[in-house]
Amino acid sequence: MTDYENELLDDFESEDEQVEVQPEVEVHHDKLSSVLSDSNNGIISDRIGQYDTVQDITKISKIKPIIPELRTKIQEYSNDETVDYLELLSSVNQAHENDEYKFILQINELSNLINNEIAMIHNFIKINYKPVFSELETLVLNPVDYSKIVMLINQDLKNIKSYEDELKRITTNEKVLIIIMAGLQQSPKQVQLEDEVFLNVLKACSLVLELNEILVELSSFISVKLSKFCPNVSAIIGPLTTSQLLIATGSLRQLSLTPACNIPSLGVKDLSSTTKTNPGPIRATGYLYHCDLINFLPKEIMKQAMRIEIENKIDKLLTPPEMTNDKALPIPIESKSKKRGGRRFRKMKERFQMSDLRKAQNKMEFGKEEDSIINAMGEEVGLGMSKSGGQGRLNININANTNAKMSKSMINRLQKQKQSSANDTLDTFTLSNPETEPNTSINSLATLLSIAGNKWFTGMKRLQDEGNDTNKKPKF
Amino acid sequence: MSYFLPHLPSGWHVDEAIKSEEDRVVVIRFGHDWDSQCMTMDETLHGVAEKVQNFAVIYLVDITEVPDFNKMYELYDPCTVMFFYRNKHIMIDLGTGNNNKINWAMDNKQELIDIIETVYRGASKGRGLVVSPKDYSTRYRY
Repeated sequence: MTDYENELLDDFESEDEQVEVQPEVEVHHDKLSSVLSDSNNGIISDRIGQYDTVQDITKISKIKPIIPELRTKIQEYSNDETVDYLELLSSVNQAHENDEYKFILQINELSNLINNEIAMIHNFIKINYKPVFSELETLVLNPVDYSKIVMLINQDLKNIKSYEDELKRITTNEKVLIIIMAGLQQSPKQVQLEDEVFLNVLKACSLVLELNEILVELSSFISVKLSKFCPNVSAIIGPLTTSQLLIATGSLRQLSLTPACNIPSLGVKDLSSTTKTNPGPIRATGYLYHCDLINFLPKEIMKQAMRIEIENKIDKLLTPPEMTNDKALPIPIESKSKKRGGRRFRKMKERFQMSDLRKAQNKMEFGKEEDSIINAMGEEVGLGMSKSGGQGRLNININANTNAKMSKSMINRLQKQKQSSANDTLDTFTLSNPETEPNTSINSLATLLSIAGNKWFTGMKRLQDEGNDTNKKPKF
Repeated sequence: MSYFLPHLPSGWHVDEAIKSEEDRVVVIRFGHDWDSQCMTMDETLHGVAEKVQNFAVIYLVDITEVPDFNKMYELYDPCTVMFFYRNKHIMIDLGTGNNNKINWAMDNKQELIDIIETVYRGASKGRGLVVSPKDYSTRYRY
């Protein structure tokens, strides 16, 4: 027991190094302020140090003496219920001159203090009550419930079952069952405390309850009052968070001047370490993070919600996307393409046209035997009317469009090549200037090919002949 | 999804539906609402009904409630879909050997839209048989 106590003591002392006790002032209001200013400077550790020697735990409580004063103040201020807009305005501008406003700010600090004190006394009870019922402190974590149970069952663990109904009023049924089981198990090895010590424990318990009571009173008072001082803010984020934000910034005026991006980080416990300790999506877990409005929301939109903090905007975030009706498909009507092509397309079509010769070959003269030849594959090919021309026409115009063609740039290139190396036989293929340079080699090649039965270059040959005949440059 | 699509409760209704539609393909599913295959098909039909509303209309016929066509159209499959245009049955070459109808449950909406479009195109040109854009002869292989 003593080990635990010392450990606790060390903890507290390492936290608060300065120790100073100010004498209590007689004037009520000043007493309150002094408590506030005191408590910030490690009073707790000082008082904790007296655990061993203290006879009456209630004497070390700083809050207990001022409870009646607080009550009268609450009574006093909660009488004027009316909200005057002008008064509100003036309170914004001269926040620090208004006593009532000051009191509200003080209350907020006080609530922290009371909580600390409750924790401290809870510790005291735990340490003292441990020999009686060691498991209770792990079963019931809430200081208020813990105190209530201690006050109920005292040191009477043997008959713990008889308190079942009362226990059920304090905590849940399942918990009650566990407590009773643990109590019955503990009862054989239970240590009976001295009356004096136990009396002290009971006093501490009642102090916890009393402190809790005043805390509830204060918070309800604050919720009423803050709706007067900052009705909009408290309507949105609740009175508790409002008061916390007000404390952090100093006044409503200051709060309104704070940039929106900074508000979530107000009240972050340790700004420097948040990034390390909190890997979640939300960086700043300040006052705003803990307010009901934000806590109620799903995690995904919490971050955004902290920025906008207005309910209807949050509603908008939560509404599902609108359903859009499927657009009906157009009627699948097939229409011919309106595009007929230009000169280039016409030329392209001409190139693949059936030649007049081929057309004539496909016709047959009535009542005459068709001439035929045997082609290279040994197949008989009918010549049709290709020889005679048919229908009085003797000569069939050969379709010049189907001839092999070269682009102008190709002609130029080949010409250049020829000029550079006149001896190259490939140059004879250029066909560029038949009239200036009658090409004999191509003629010989064409005849050679025709002999072999390959008609591929016939068009080429004919073109050259034509060029020679008309003394005209063929147009490619 | 069958409750979203219009049902034809009698043979007369079926006749009227097919006859009265002037320039839309009439798609009729013969089968039972409770049949699992029909449920799949109805899901697909419902999915496309709104999209094809400009050139097709979809009806459901319960073959127990309306047995009039069972013999004529040989409706012995659990789920049959047939196409009509201006009171004429439009055949479709699906590659399955049965050109009269789709006698399985389709679960691909786009394929169904493609088939209905093809039927419309062919039928509006006066054809009685169209070729499905996709061949369903290997349907059972996978």
